[in-house]
Amino acid sequence: MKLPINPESFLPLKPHWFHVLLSLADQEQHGYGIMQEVLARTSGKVRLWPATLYGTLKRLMDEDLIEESATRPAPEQDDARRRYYRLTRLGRRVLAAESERLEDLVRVIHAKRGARERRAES
Amino acid sequence: MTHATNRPVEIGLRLYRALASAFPYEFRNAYGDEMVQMTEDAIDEIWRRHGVLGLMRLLLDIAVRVPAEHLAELRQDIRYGLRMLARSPGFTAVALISLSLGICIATCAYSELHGMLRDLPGVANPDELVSLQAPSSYPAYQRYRALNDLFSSTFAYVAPVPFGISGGGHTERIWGQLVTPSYFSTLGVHPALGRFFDRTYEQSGGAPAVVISGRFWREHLGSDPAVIGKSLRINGYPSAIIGVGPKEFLGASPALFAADIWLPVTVEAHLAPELADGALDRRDLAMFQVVGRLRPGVTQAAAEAELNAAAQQMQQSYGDTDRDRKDPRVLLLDAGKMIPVRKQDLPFFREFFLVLGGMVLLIACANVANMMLARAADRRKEIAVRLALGAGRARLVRQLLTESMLIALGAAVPGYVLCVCCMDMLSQLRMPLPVPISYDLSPDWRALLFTLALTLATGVAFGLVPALQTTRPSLIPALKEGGHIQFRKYRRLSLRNALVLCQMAASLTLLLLTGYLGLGIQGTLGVQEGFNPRNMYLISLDPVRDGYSAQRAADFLEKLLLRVQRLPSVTAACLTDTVPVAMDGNAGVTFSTPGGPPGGAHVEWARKHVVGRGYFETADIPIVAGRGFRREDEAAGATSAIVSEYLVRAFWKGQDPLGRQIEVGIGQAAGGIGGMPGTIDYRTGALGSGRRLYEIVGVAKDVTEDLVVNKKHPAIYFPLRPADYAQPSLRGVTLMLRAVPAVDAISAVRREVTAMDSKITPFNARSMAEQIAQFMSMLKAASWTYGLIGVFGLILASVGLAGVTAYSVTQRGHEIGIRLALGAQKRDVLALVMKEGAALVTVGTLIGLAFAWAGMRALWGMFFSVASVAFSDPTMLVGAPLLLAGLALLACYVPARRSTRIDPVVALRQD
Repeated sequence: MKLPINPESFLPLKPHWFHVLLSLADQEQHGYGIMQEVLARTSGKVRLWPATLYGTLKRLMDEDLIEESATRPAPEQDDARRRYYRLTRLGRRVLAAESERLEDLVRVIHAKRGARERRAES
Repeated sequence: MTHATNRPVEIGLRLYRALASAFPYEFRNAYGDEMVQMTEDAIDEIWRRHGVLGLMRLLLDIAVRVPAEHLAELRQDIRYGLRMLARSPGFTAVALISLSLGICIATCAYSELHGMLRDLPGVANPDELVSLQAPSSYPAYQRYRALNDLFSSTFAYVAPVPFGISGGGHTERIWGQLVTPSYFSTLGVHPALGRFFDRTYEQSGGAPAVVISGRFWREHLGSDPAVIGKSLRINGYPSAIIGVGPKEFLGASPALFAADIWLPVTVEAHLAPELADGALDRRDLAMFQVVGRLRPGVTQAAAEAELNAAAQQMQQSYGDTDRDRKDPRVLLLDAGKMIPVRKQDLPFFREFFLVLGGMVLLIACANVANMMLARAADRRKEIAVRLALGAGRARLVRQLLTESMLIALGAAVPGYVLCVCCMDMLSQLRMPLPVPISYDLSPDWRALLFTLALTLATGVAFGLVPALQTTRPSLIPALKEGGHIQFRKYRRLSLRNALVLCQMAASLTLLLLTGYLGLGIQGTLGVQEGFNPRNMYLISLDPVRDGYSAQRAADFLEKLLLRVQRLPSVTAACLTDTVPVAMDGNAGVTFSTPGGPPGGAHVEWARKHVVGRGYFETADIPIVAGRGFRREDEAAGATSAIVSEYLVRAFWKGQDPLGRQIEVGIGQAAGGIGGMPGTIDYRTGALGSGRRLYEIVGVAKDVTEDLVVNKKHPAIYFPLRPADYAQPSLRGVTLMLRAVPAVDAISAVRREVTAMDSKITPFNARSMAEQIAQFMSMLKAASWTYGLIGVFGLILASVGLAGVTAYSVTQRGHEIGIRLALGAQKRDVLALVMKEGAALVTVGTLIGLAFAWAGMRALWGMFFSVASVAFSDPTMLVGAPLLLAGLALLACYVPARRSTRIDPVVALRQD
């Protein structure tokens, strides 16, 4: 019997991992698709190079955060040669945990910035 | 998707595909195609956006990931291996223990070898140095020195030489050497302080000067930086310190003659009694060790030939009696090593150590390999499934190999640490010789490297074969249920069985060899015949080196003897040079009976003893005929000698020897590597060639005092003369006394000495019991070591056999279940299982006996010198195999018993 894994144990998440998990949050994707989406999302700043990407995918699979998707998308969008990936339940929880952690950080930054501005004004 | 024909992109893609094929098998299978596909899709866009830099970045990306993936796999293998090992703690523990012991012993053997064959510390270009095996006379050295085409420089030295260094009211006996001025320059050492001897010291008559060693400077002078020019009282006379040697330097032969102080050979005789009577001009005093540095391009053989020619010429021109001898007079040794050996002897040394160590390690490895085979066979099904599902064979082999490497590395650490401890203990072993022999055997970085290499080799050795065997692609028998039932009619020699055979054979060989050595040594311990060692005490004195003249020393010793004899607690006392049970193994004389038969004119060898009046009474050695020595025998021209019973029996067949004459010359026993250090006698009286006639005045009973108790030697006793006090041997003059029991005789003697003259310092005070114990300690240690090694091999072999039988039982569970179900008795099943074990034991024993016999023939010479062993001794020859066989069968029996408890129903249902 496997012990339940605490999603917090994965935090802080490596940036690449976060990007991949985020890409798979809404839909299943294949490798190329993930790369494209991350590229678009970050306005060209983060490019997941192929070897690194597949290394990351392998690790995520080993850690049981993603899995290969059994269902295929609609035939028009499907590419038979590619494999599609999706999040596991654990993956989702880890993504949520990491997002929350990042949001907390941003809140703290905003609070600090606000305080600094108020002090500058006074 | 087609790309526009774009040269850089094409090349980039081709390189990319090539690199992608370097990924590990599993990764390639899973993601390889996809990855390449993705790159093909993206590469145009990358080219457009980033140009050449983009392509390079792409290739760099994959180039970095390839080794990273391999490393990740390795980490996984290691974690998996550790988990597997932890799951079977029994196997892991046994494997670790046997391997670490094996590695320890092998590394110890290497360290010992290396310690002996290490280059001399502090010396420049040690492989150019050669020395003459036998000491030469000074004129001979001068002749050799002139051979400029052979040597770039040479030197000669006398060693070992004791010096009495006085300070603070008492004298300490320090060992040093008398050297020619070219000593230090030829060796290529530079002084740490001050300077060394130069050419001005070739003439005698200068102010006495001395060079001290770094060790002496540290230990006795407290590293005083202002030591140069200070005066040191040597043998009672002040000498100036002109230099301090470099830190580790202890002379030209530090293992045998470690020197703390050097004086030039041109010093006055009172500083060095060895050089009295014009020793430098005498042709018959061969007490100088000669060392030379060969010119580049000159071989040892060529040098030997030329030296021989020179030696022969000298003999011809002086009209020596043996000038027409055909055999070589001069043999060269490699002088650059710690222990000088002949090039021919080197392989013997190496082989002995490495074979012994290697055999032990081999047994350990075979053991572990066997266990791994058994273990791997258990996982056969799992591995077969993995292979069928597409795992790479190479990957599986690597995984299994990782496990063995983990065991090997895990065993290497304790093995090395244990080796360091053992070598430390060994280095502290003191040899019972008058000269302190020091050898540093502690393992250095080279030993560590050797251990590591050995570890890796063993890891592969015992891991590879099981791994290869288990992953053989013949899956069908493993996958088929019940496919492994084999009713074997004829025993096939499987690999496992072969390994067990090797193990048994090697163990038996080891056991026999070490057993003979160990038992042989044990047999000689503690048996001294011929004298009474109880309540005997010995204490040594050397008044000459305390500053006395010869005459004064003689007077002092005579007076001391009288005073000691008058002590109430002393029943008998005498002065003597040689004592019973001492390492005098090779010092002796040759003798022959002049004229015709009955003894014949053969030249025989006898042990030489120089003893004072009252020796035989003090030591309780009966005189069976004639008399002991009297005062008149000590006169200058007297020629009395006493012989041992054995000599009379052997050479005169029991006829009355009293009044007969024998001709005595000097002679050193041949054999081995030359005389044992400390027994070499450089004194004029001892080394003068030419034979003298002696008259036999008494016959003493035999005294067995050798390392080997059964070997009897003929012995000749000579009287100790007062003239000998001027040039005492390396042992000094020994006062031997027998006292009343339970009394501290040594302190009483010390008090007498101090009362007579507080400056005289006696040394080496001991009781006879202590002397004997020290004498035997070395042998005891050796016999224990051999015993342990033998036992270790035995245990390993038994464990191995038990493992194999246990495995066999599990494998044949099905078969045994069927037999039981069909009506076989438990006895029959037991017999069935034991039969296989018994067959292995028998064959292994036979092979082992053969190897042991071969081994003993090869090591014959070495054996004979330390153990009185008859190789046909039935106890060993029958006992050892029986012991091994018995233990092995017992080891078989225990797992075999399990087979009888197999429930046929359960066995049949199992896979």
